[in-house]
Amino acid sequence: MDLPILYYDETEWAKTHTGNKVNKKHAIAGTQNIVIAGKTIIEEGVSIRGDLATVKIGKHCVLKSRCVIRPCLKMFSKKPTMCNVIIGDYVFIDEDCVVNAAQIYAFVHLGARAVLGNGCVIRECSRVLPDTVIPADAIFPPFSTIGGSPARVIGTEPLCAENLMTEAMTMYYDNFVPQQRATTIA
Amino acid sequence: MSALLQYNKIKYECTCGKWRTLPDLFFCRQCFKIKCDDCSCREIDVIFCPRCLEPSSPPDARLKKHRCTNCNDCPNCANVLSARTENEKCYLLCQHCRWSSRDANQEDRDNIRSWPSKENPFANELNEVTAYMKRLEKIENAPKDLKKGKSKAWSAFHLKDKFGVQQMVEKRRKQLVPEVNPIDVHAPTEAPTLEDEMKGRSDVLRTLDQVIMQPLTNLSESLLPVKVALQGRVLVRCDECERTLVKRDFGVATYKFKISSFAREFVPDIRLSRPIGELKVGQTSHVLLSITNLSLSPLDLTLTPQSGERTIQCSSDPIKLVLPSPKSADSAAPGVHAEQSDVIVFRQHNRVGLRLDVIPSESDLSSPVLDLLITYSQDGSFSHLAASEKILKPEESGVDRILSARLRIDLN
Repeated sequence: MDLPILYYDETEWAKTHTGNKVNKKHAIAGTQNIVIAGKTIIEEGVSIRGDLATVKIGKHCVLKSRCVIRPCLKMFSKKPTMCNVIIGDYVFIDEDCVVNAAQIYAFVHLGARAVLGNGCVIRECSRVLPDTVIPADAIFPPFSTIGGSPARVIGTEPLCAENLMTEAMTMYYDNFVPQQRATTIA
Repeated sequence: MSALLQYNKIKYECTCGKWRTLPDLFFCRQCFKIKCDDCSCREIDVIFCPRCLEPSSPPDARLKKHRCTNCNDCPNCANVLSARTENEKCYLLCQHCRWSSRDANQEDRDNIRSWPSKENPFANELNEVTAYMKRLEKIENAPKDLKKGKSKAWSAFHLKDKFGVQQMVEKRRKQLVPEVNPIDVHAPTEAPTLEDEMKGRSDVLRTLDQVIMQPLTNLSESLLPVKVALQGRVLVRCDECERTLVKRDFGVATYKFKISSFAREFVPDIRLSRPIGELKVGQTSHVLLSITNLSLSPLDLTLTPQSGERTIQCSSDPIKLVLPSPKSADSAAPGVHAEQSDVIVFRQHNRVGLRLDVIPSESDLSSPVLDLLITYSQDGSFSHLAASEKILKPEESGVDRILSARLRIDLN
């Protein structure tokens, strides 16, 4: 099904010159350490812990409401270190996700309420089913459907997942329009 | 993604008669046929470890018994075991269930590699038996090889012992004949009774998953780290012309394709445009669809609703339209209402929104299914391209083939 048109109140949202749309009721800390490429939508109540380490988010991503993104902790022999989080392009993170991952590659879909453990890596074109708990240090190859608690690879994604995800995320951004403009068009 | 765009509601018919979603289908550019998982050939392209993404060659993988030597899984919950160092020695720890290699009475090691695994106690005997069978095979095949004339040593030359060669040959032949020492037969042992087995058993029973991961470990022994099984990455071929349909790029963890012919890029992609309202018996309901052309050339297509026994009745007439290709559509103004008909709802780039009228009957309500047939043809540039890439012969190009696809839409 085509994605529905979502209207938002322009007074509650901030738009950057690169096309990012961020809800003003966010909980983003350490903005100087957060790099967002562009055309990314960040909804209400999203928490990004840029004060702990650098967070990089690619273009055309969607972070639905109340999800948490925080850097992962790695224990080195000298001292514990917070590692950077890198999220690729065209990544969809559904509501109430807790992302403690080291790296999420491009074209990944995280289902609602998924919990990603400390320092896990999810490769391209994968899908995490809703309510999945991924343990720490796990790594998943491209095109895997991940589900269960503890998470396992339970299937494969269609091989054209890249095109599907690009289309879906572009459509999501195009259909995410401010209320006033929508009324004037109509 | 297929989950976001709800592709699971629309099934296309494959050439073999199975119903699959469009992202799961392939299209053979030579046979002009839709292919699914079941009617295509698959072969292993690369063997790799899913944890460290290290590739290994087939003989290497066979040598390692299709297991990765570096990566270990938790025997309890099949999760990644992470290495922890203490006093310059390391042990393995599962971060999910807190199992550690110390639980299995394993001493800490200098490096994370080569943790022991349970070997088959009869491995030596098995090897002996296979070696014996191989020797027997050699002896059995000797007369056949002789007939074929493979072995030069057994020519007629040895019959006339002119220069005393016969003796020499005989001597050498005796040396060449492999030794055959039959292996002793096992004395039958008494099968353990259930009571015996239950006696030495610890309180903790193992789950089926744990037993499958380490079938050789007895219940009295503690579980050892499981070596991660290697995975194969497949290459898809058409089963008729054996042309490659999907081949991944070089590199294990790549998501890009060297060759790809997904059905989405050739067949018109039909999706539900808006959710369907409540269906009522005898009343006309609207089904809003969107058709997208993702192929390289404009599509000339006809959409015909089919009526059958188990399908919902559609009162709309067949729809004929031309869909521009994504390339040429970029220059056109978006959102132009090109045709003011009541069937076409919107026209946007390479996508058209349609409205179909359906009249459900009593029997349809439990599982309403809309059956559609699309016949489509391209303007020939597709076959020109195929000819330039040497997929088709030059004389075959330029011919507009009329193709058809049948699909079922679940209206629930």
